Amino acid sequence: MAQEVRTVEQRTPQTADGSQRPAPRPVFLPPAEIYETRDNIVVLAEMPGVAPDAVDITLERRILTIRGRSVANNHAGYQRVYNEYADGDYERVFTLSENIDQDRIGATLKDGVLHLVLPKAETAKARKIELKSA
Amino acid sequence: MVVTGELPGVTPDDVTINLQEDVLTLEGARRPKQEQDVNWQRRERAYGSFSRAVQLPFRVDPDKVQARFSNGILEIELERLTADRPKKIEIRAA
Repeated sequence: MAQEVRTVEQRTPQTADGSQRPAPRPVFLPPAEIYETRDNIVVLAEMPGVAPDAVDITLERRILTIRGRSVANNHAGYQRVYNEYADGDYERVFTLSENIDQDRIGATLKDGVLHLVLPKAETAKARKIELKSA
Repeated sequence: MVVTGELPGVTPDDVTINLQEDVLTLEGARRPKQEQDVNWQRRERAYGSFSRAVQLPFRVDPDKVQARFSNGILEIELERLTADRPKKIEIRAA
């Protein structure tokens, strides 16, 4: 089962080296779907307002981090009358249930939905360890 | 005025925009991709049909509506009906 590492939503998210981002924007958890086929793990994450070049995907061992920066929707010359959702960035961290073959990862972003195909790594041949009785 | 809505994972064909005087209606459905032989680990996205009617503060010219869909965000630009613009009324000194 994939476990989720919860990212606390902060007004000013801290970057890894402790520095603060210049413009505080809310960071949201994108709703996600994860399913497993025989050969792949597929992750779908909803990030409306994020263009394909504003997505950051990193995989370290089994920890998958997805980050998306959305375009600030500033309608110049208009006055905001009603607001139901906020402009913000997206970030989510998952611990995957399998080892992944990093060279064959496929990612597409269409209509604000990130589609990640993570092929499972060939399991290393198990080494049988003999117990020698002393 | 501009009305924006977040519709990730929806293609423009799945959405209908209706305009009647000063009410804007958005309807559509999001269908899941049918996957065979999968083992679901997490399912958070919602599927199904949706419908929303928004009462606009003024009447809009239906011939001048523009709708754009980019990165999962639908943007509808509406222009006020010229006949609906407030008219200045002159007071004649009696």
